[in-house]
Amino acid sequence: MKKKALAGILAAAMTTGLMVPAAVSAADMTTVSLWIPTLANYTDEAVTEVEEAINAYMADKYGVQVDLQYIEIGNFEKAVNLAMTTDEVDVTCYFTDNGQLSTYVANGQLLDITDYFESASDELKATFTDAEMTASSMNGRLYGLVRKYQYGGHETAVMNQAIVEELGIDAKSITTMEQLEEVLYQVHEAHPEIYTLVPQSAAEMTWAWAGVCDRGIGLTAYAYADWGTTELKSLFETEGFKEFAGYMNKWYNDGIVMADALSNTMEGSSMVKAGSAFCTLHNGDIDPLDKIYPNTVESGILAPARAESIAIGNLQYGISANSAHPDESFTVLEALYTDPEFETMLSYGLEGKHYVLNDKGRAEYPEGMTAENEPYGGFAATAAYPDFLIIPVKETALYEDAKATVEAWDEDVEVSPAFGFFYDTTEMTDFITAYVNLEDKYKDAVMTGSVSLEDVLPQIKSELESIGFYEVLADTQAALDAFLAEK
Amino acid sequence: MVQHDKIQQTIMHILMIFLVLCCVLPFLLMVMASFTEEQTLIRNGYSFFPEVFSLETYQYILRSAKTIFRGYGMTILVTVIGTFCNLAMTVLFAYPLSRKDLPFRNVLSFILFFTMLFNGGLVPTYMMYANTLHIKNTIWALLIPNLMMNAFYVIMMRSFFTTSIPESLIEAAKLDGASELKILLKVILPLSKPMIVTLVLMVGLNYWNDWMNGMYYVTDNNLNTIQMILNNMIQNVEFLSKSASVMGSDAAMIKMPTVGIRMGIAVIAVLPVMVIYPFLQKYFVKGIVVGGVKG
Amino acid sequence: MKKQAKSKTSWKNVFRHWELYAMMIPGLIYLIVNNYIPMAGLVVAFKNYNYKEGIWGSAWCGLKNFKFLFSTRDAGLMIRNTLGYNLVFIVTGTVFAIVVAIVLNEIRASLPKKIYQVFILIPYLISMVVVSYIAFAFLSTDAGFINKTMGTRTNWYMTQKYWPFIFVIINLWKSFGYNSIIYYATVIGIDSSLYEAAVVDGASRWQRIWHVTLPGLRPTIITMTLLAVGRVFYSDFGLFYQVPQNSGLLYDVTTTIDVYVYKGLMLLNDVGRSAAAGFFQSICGFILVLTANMVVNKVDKDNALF
Repeated sequence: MKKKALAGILAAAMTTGLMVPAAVSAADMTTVSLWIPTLANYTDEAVTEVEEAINAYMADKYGVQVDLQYIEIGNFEKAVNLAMTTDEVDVTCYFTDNGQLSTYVANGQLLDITDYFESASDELKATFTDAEMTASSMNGRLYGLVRKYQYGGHETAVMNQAIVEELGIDAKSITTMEQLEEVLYQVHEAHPEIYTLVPQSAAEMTWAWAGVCDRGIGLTAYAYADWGTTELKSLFETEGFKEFAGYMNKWYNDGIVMADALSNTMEGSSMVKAGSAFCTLHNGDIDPLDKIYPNTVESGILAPARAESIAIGNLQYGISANSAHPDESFTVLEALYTDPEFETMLSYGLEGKHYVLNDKGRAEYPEGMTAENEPYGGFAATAAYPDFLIIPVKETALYEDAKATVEAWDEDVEVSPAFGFFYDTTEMTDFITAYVNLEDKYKDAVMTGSVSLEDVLPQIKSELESIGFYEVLADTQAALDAFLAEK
Repeated sequence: MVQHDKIQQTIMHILMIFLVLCCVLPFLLMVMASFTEEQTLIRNGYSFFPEVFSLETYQYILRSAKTIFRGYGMTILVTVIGTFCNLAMTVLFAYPLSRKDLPFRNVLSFILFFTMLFNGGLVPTYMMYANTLHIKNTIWALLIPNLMMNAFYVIMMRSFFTTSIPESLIEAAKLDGASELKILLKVILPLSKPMIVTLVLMVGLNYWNDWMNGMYYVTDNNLNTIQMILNNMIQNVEFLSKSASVMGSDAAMIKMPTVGIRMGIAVIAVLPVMVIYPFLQKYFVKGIVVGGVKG
Repeated sequence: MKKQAKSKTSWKNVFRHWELYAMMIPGLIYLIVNNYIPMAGLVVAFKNYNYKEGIWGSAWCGLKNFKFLFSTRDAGLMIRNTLGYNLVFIVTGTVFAIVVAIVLNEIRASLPKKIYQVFILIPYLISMVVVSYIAFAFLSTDAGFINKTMGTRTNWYMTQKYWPFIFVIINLWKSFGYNSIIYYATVIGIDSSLYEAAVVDGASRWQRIWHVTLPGLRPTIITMTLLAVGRVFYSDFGLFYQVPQNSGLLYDVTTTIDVYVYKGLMLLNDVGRSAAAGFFQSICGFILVLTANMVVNKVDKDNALF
């Protein structure tokens, strides 16, 4: 009798266990929070659904649970920095495009994962190139893993297709700024009612630094050099910047550049797409831009593909120093780069619901869905996820094998000669603040051509002097020279 | 003499009408911008009489009705509950302070006043709410931090009680054997209508326009208020101009509605306040007469 | 012996008022949770804040965090801007609001009077974010209402000299309605017998305003100004950051303490420095209020805040 009862209970427990495996076992599994910036529209219901699917999978395979924390991208840095003061954050994305890695390390925000990485699987170790390891290390210690992405980019112009066709412009033959200039003036004459050239985003003329100069040397916010050289200069004194500023100022004065460039709040390519602007300067991608943006035509290459010091690994994933579960967090971090099934669910959502695989094995939107109404939002903007090389290729991509394509791209890129050099600025906070303020004051104004560099250069120089810029630059140069000599 | 006076009156009316126009027209310009077709806006600029009229903005808003109206609902809910709680706490704190016979009255006043000058800053406050009280991603996060009681309003309320409620009324009620709470509810509050309406307006406005609590304590979209939706757009623009390059070509996916649409959302965020406000106007002046003057 | 008796009654007195104290409990709990406990966190202003070590574990660093506000060449600039704008705002805001209040009071037709009061308060109800949209509609170079109407092509967002005026106008626009109503409320509260006496004396309208209305407004002016003085080291972040669209060329006239700290911290997320800046603003405001109040106490004892 007793036995029977016991068996009954056991059977009941097993059935419940089978029916809701996650619910029962989740109780004693650790939950790791994963913070990701979101660009596209999403609904919380879709995120919950994906999270449940991921957890059902993670429970069996790793015995951990994941709590997805999606944050609007504009708020992301503020929200994560605040949350990192507590133990809410386990694994998180962070940006390093302005040299923030040294700040994170100096503030003690990121966990040193060197030891974890050393005892991790070979598969994980093989994922990263030396350049990528350098980009997420500081003083020989590893603090995060970089997002797998192509290095740097070339500079092109993205133009409105209708106008290109109407005026019979041969877009691909445009390979210099002079040729672009000719086309811009032609369009301005034919279509004075639209903006001829708009900034790439908001007040920023372009992020295609391949056409300007090398920046972020030593992962600092202030050291620049002309491409291919290692002589450090202020941004405003590099030849490349002077040349770029010269064009822009001329174009601005002739009404080619949008007059409100400095107070612009729109994204350039969307204005070109919509037909309210003709052209924007863009950084190239492994996929041709005209494939990504409908109604546009991409020009020829204006400046070859180059990677600045901080362009490699400018988005990384790491573990908060205040995480209560560092071990489990590293398990999740590793899975982000080694587990295609997990990474695919995270990036694209649920198969059949948020994306489908077609007969070629490529991912695309399910019938009737677009970026506008797909509820999970990952498919529209995969750039925020750690590794797009291990997930199914999108139908729109022109390549077959993402990994090989990115590797080939990286081979061809001209990498900054100062790459790998790190200059410790953690004790120079006050200088950095003053410098950044100064650069912000003039950079966009000069780059959009709103003011002439020649007019403001003397003033800029005297202001640079007054914050002790040239002494700091000389010290940085000495350290760079020592680094290069050693190399 | 009479004629002279008439001229003076006319001049004053003209001056006030001019000021009223200054207050209303800018807002009207924004409303018209939200009705202007995007291309017309670029070509002809902002105008009170757009050449091409368009409902595109409001169609967009209707398309994303789920987000925007949920935001609306959240804003209304938070404003109503928040204003009620704030008022209850303010009245309960201000009334004892207004009683001259209360021991330690000055100490308690100082405790209140001191919070107007010093605060612990964002990080300690965040730790308190996120780590100790765990109110992140709950509706409490939109209600409690920094908004639920404001020393300035308590002081206004206290001044109102001291200056306009005769002590004899309280004494009389006490002789009748009424409890303090009963005195407050039955005697004091009915006499305090103007001040209460004034505070309802001011506190309500604070809740209605707040986005800080949302930005710091809410990551769950279901709790977004209309002001958070507006603020997210601003934050995204800032991100676009600073770090968008890390997103590569996906940066074009950043939700960046056109200027006209942003104007439209701003209009619908402000409209309810403007509709409700005139009805409270007459109390507002009365409330300020007694409470706000000697803050 | 006597003393003892007194303290006894005073405790009795406290117990007698238990109901009143009980009423204050929710408010007190709120003040403790929302204000006083986090205030202990002000120690991070003197610490080299490390996220891992937290508030108590981080190392002390003396006044290093405060140096950030003063060692930069922008220090003079931002203090000048913060104080300068606030002083101009106080003066223009007060004068303008009083004028409007008096005009409102002098107008006899009661319906228009009510209508005016409703409309001048509209700007007060609009948040700064929305104000920044409206400002852009007026000031945009290509499409702005001003350039389109005047047929000019002024680059408002690039020209420093306009902005001090733009800030004053926007601040005035946004706040005058509310302030006017406060003063208006005081004016209608002035004992009408004073006016009647003035009329009997044969005073003109101007004389009445000068000798009766303005002195009647004095307590309100003093209170309002004292409160504003306590905030002169703070600035409305939205006004100085969002309204000028964070345009670099305008930094010399738009950088206030709050804007500088925000920008510095966006980049550095340095908790210690941000706490130091807040502490500095609080202390300065505290000292200013005490000083101003002392002066008022000497000159006009009745109207001091405390």
